[in-house]
Amino acid sequence: MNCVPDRIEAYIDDELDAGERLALERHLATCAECSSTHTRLLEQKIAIKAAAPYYAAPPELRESIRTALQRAAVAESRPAAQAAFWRPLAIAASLLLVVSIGWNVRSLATARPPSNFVESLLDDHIRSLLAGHLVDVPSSDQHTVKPWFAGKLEFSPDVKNLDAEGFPLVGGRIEYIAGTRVAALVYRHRLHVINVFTWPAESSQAGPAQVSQHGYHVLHWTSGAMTYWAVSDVAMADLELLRKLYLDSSAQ
Amino acid sequence: MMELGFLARTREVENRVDTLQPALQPALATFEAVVLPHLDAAYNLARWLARNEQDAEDVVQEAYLRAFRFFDGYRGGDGKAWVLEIVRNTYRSWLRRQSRYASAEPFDEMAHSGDFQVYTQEDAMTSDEERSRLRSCLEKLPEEFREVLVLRELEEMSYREISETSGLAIGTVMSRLSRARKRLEQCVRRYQREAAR
Repeated sequence: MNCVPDRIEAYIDDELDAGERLALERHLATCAECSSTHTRLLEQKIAIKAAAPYYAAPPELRESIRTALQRAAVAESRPAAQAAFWRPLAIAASLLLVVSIGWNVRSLATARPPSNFVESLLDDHIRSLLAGHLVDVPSSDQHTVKPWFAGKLEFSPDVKNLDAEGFPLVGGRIEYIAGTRVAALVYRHRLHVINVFTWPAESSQAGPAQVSQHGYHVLHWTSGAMTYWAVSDVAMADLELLRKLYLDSSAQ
Repeated sequence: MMELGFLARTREVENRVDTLQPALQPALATFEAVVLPHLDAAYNLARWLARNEQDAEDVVQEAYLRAFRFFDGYRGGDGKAWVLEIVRNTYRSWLRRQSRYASAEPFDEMAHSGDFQVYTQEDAMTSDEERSRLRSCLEKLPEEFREVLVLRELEEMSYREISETSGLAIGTVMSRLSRARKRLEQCVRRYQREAAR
């Protein structure tokens, strides 16, 4: 057996099994260096026990802990304190919120390819809000916005002024949705922005009429030859109202 | 019966504990049976870590309330290692709150290594003075070393138990213990050299 100082420490700490202990004891009997190390370590161990006081808990600490524990036990059983039971759920809910905000920010930050059509609409909507690129043509006048699109798209979007109904027109811009150039009409409703993406119905994507995702709502409808996708964080009911106003004004 | 208001309230709390919470008492009783026997060990560790009585009491009191709150997480096994782990963690967060956390940087095992020096029989401690030197050296050891030495030599915990308490791998426990012993010896020898001058 060679000199293995950590074995000697394990030996004095009583961490060796019977076989290991025997082997080490045989080695100590023949090796002066290890024997001296062993003596030194053992003396230190004894010295520590002799010199270092073991601090027992003061009786008053024991009493005050018992009292505190009983108070804690009573407090936990009170109805008011049982509200604490819901705290993990509340935390989970706020985490979900953070995650959903995180999703939006991440989708902006990484510009990853949208996994589906609705997400690409949401991405466009959020980008338009944050990138300071809400409109290419800022105007509340549909007679300014509609001609602006004329030279830039192969179609002419139906631009409506719904100011009187609570949806003032902000302007318009060109967007690429699923590889197609589309018109984005921008409305305000109270403090919220609504993007209405529209293009000829032939290029319409199949999809549900409404989708709610990450706090945003998407409402889809078609009218005449055009398809419409309204995206906003306003309530779905407000988007429904917008759709109704759009369809009503088209019928006139 | 006339009593001061706060006494009546205290009595009221006690009555509620004794009579109105029958379902509560077994949980508290179980907790006390598992955890209270280790109060001396808890205090000893906190006292060696904090190095004064008042702070040690505060840490232990907080640790025991935490332990009670987390008692659901106790899955049987070594109650002592479980309690001391909570004491240790409570001490750490208590220290951060005091914003005088001495070793804000992660503890570097290698930076604190050291070799044994030649040691003869004459160096063996014999007097009260030498005992007090060793005690002072132990108190001056970096906390990470002090902790494993207290757990090993005063609490007589196994490597496995120290590993459970400290969250360190057993190999790390062994090497830290070994370095702690070397550091302690170096400190004692420094004192001896100074005394001999």
